[in-house]
Amino acid sequence: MPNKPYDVLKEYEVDFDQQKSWKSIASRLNTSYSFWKFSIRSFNAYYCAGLIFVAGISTYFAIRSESISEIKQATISDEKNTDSSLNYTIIKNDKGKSNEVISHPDSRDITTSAKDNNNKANPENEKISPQTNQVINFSNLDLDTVAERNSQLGIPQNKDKNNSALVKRDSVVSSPRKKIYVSRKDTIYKIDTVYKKPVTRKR
Amino acid sequence: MDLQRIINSCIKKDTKAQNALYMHTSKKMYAVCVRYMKDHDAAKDLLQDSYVKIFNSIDKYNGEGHIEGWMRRIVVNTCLDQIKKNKRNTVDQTVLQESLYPENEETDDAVYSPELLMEAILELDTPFRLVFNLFFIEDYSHEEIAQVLDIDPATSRSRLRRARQKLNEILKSKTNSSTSNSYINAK
Repeated sequence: MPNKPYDVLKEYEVDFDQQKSWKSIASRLNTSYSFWKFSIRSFNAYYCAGLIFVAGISTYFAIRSESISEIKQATISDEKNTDSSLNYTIIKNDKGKSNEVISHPDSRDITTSAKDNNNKANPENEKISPQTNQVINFSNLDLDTVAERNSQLGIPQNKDKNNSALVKRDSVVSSPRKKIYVSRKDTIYKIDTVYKKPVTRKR
Repeated sequence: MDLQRIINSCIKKDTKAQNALYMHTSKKMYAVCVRYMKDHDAAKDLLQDSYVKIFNSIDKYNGEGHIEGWMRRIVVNTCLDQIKKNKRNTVDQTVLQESLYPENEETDDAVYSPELLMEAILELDTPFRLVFNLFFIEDYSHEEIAQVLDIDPATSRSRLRRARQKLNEILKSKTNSSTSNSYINAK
């Protein structure tokens, strides 16, 4: 083989300052790695921030849509319901200016409404039929009075975190805070957007 | 540490493993750089460039063949790229230099020490040294050399022939001078 004499050069080594050369190689490698690490880190930070933002936004809209769907559900059930045990009436109090009563067609026992007692919501004027629907207008009463009244009616009282009264099913309360809680069976629906249109029934 | 473990650790960007691989192979790779570049400072720069490339792309080494062969290929390619860059900035003297060497098929296949061979190779002009290195040491074919150096395969053949002639001349002169020196020293 003509190239045999040169094969020795394949394994030939030349001495030099390896450490010095290695230092510069290592620094170059670290620079490139740290650049990528930094990029990845900053990407992660932006990614996490974006994720938190999206999660916050979606949670906000989820809560909103949930409360709206609860109202819709209540309205739909109200419209389709034939079972009198699920009937309820919402007494709406708009900053004390007027009390509007939205009652279900089957709520025939409710003979007194806020229409008759406009701006004069008074529990004494209300007729209550415990067997069917219980309509309580507490618009002018504080929570203690509501509790007292409910205890008289035999409605178990709870208070939520906001110190708002939770009432028994089929009961509708317009509290001074203008938050209405409708409870059905075991579920307590919190409706704080009662003034929105889905709640209002058109005859 | 086992070489395969070193390679695996290098893939994971482990600095200790990179250092181990560097210490294990850098002298050979430096010799490759020197053979191509002649100038030691330029060779060191190219060695660094080559190792940065090696460590950044070691995950592409698929285990076929020895790691040193794969690394040597990267080092050679880095050197060739640098030579091409330098060539653009200088006047190409290849044609003129080729005509200086006489057409002579006489070759000497005597065995020389690697140090002497290295010295002789470094005395060759760059175009001839490149072809010589690629053909005899890197085992490239003339077609591959032609492709890499952007020349005709026939030119590669003629350069190789002339490189060998020139190398033999250099080696003969070096051995003669060393024997005469040893004779003088003995006297």
